[in-house]
Parts: sequence; C-alpha cells; structure tokens
Amino acid sequence: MSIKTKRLPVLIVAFSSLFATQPAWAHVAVEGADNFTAGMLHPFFVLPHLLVILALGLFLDQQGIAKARPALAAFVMALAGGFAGAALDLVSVFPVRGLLLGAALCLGLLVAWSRALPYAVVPAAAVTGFAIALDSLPEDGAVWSNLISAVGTSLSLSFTLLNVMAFASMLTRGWQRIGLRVLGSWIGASALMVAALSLR
Amino acid sequence: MAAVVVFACSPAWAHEGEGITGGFVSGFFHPILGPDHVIAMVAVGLWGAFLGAPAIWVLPIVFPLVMALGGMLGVIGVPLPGVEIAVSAIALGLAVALAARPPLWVAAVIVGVFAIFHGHAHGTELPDAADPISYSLGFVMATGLLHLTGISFGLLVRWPAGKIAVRAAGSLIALAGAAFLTGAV
Repeated sequence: MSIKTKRLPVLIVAFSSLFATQPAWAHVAVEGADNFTAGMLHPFFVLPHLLVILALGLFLDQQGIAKARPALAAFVMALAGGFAGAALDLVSVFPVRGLLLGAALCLGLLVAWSRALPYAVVPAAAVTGFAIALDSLPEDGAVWSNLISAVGTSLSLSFTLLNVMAFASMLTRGWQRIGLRVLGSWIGASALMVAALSLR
Repeated sequence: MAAVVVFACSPAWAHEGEGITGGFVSGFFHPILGPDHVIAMVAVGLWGAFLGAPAIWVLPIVFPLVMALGGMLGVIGVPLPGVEIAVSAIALGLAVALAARPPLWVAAVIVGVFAIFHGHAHGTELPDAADPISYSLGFVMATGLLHLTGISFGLLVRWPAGKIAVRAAGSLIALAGAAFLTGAV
C-alpha cells in the first residue's frame, strides 16, 4: 500500500476541517409525525445527507462487501458518537457543514476514481456517520424524544446505506459501473462548488 | 481550434432560470434554458462518442469535476476572460463536423478549457441560489444529461450513414453557435 493511500483518511479529515464552522442544514421538522417516524424520515429531507450516504454506499460497493463490513460497524458507531456529540452541543463548535461537504467531495471523487482503497473504507464511513448524526438531532427536543428520533434516523440511514450498496452491487455491466462513477462525479462536483461558497 | 478560445465576448445566455425558485429546479433548468449551453454540451457528447473509448466514458466522469473547478472560480469571484459559450459550440461543432481525432490529452485540454468557462458561468449564479447544493446538483445533472444526449446520438458513428448524420449535427451546432455569437438568433 502506498504512502499516499495510507494518508488518504488523514487527508479527508484535514480537508474537511478546512471549512469554517457554519450553520447546520438539518433541522427539518416533520409535521404530524411522532419522534421515531420523524427521525426515520429526516435524512430524506436533507439533500446533503442523502448525497453523502449515496456516495458512501457507492464507495463501499466499489471496495467490496468483505472490506465494507467493518466500515458498516464503524458507520453505526460513528452515528452513535455523532448523536452524543450533538447532545453535548458539539454542533456549535464543530464545522458540521464543512465536514459533510468535505465527505461528499472526497467520496464523490473516490467513487469517480474507482480504485481499491482499503485503508480509506473505515475512516470514510466513520467520518460520514459522525457528520450526518451531528447534523441530525432535533434542536429543541427533550432527551427521550431526541433519543427516539436518533434511533429512527440511525435505522433509516443504515438501511439506506445498505440499500444503496445492494443496488450498486447489482449493476455489474461495464457501462453500469461507469454510470455509478458518473454519479460520484456529480456528487463531488456539486460539493466542490458549494464548498467554494465558504471561501468567498 | 484552441485559438478560438481566446475570443473575449459577452456573458452567456443561459440565465433565464433566475425567475425560478432557487434550488434543484432552477439549477436543472439553468443549462437547459440556455440554447448556447445546450448545443455546446451536446457537442461535447457527440465529440466524445466520435473519439470512442476511452474518451466516451472519461468525458462524463471528468467533465463535471473540471466544470466544478470553473464553478468554484465563479463562486469565489475569480474573473475569467469573457468567453462566450457559443464559441465552445462553434469549436466543438467544428471538431465533430471535421471528424477531428486529436490525441486524447489534446481533446481533454480543449474540452477542459470549455468546461472551466461553462462552470464559471454557472458558478457566478450559485451564491444567489436559495439552496446552493440543490442548485449545483441540478445543473451538474442537467449538464451530464445533455452530454448523454450527445453521446447517445454520437453512437450512430458505428454505421456509415450514422457517421454522416453525426458530422452533419456537428455542422449544425457550429452554425447555431455562430448564429448565437453574432446575435442572428
């Protein structure tokens, strides 16, 4: 494994941290829904979260199921860590938006690049899970309702990730794999342009 | 063809999406509502198909990323020489019409330069979008689908009659680009 590949996870985190702290995206209330349902639906109302999950699913599929298993565990644990961090108000000091954009950009580029990067799998899943969870807790909920919402969101995100991976793994023809790389390119390009807003 | 790039002209036409609410729809229709953008992006796809592998699949993967670099320059306010998008339609249309087959890196540089300017035109609009990420995703997808349109039509080059049709389409694109550039339409 080359030095460049080993350094990739560090570069992902370092790049993400370049972005200044900005307001979070995800505070969408679902009218009329209970906490669990609202939590489950939450990721589908926040485009950046969907994009990052999509990119992560495509990336993990490209790395192979065997290598993706520890990444899935890391993703779930990072979700728990992210929700705990949100409960401790890390959102106010952490560049959540930058982290999400950085993850979307890096994962999009990696999907477009489509190379085996086993050392990047777990860090990528962990950073993504942490960033999404940090940006997903309701702002004004009580502890119990937040916990229920977090469980719903975690289940939803995990199943979405698995579905993306399963769907991508069914696309085995050459042009279909290229189509997945094009998707990654689109995600990376979108994230790059929005990230540039932070530099203005 | 590269010399055509240096012509400095007025801004692009593709800004009729401004009235639409910011977000995905606005971004998606931004390239589509600009006929100069449409023909230029279709020409990119046509040329990619004409060049064959690997250009045909490298192009839709790399173009959005290079375009995003141009968009980034537009977002942060880095000025670029005013290159009319129609110029890229003329150059790329001519490349298809003349069945130009330069080395891949030359084609990549030419298309890359146009991608930068194309992205810059969109990037300058991004700060005003209500939802920047939806907007950027919309226009990146629309651009990709325009490429796909060109690539799909360009696949006709497998057949002799199809090759003539594709080259004729390139000629039409170049003519349309010239018409846009001179203000004839």
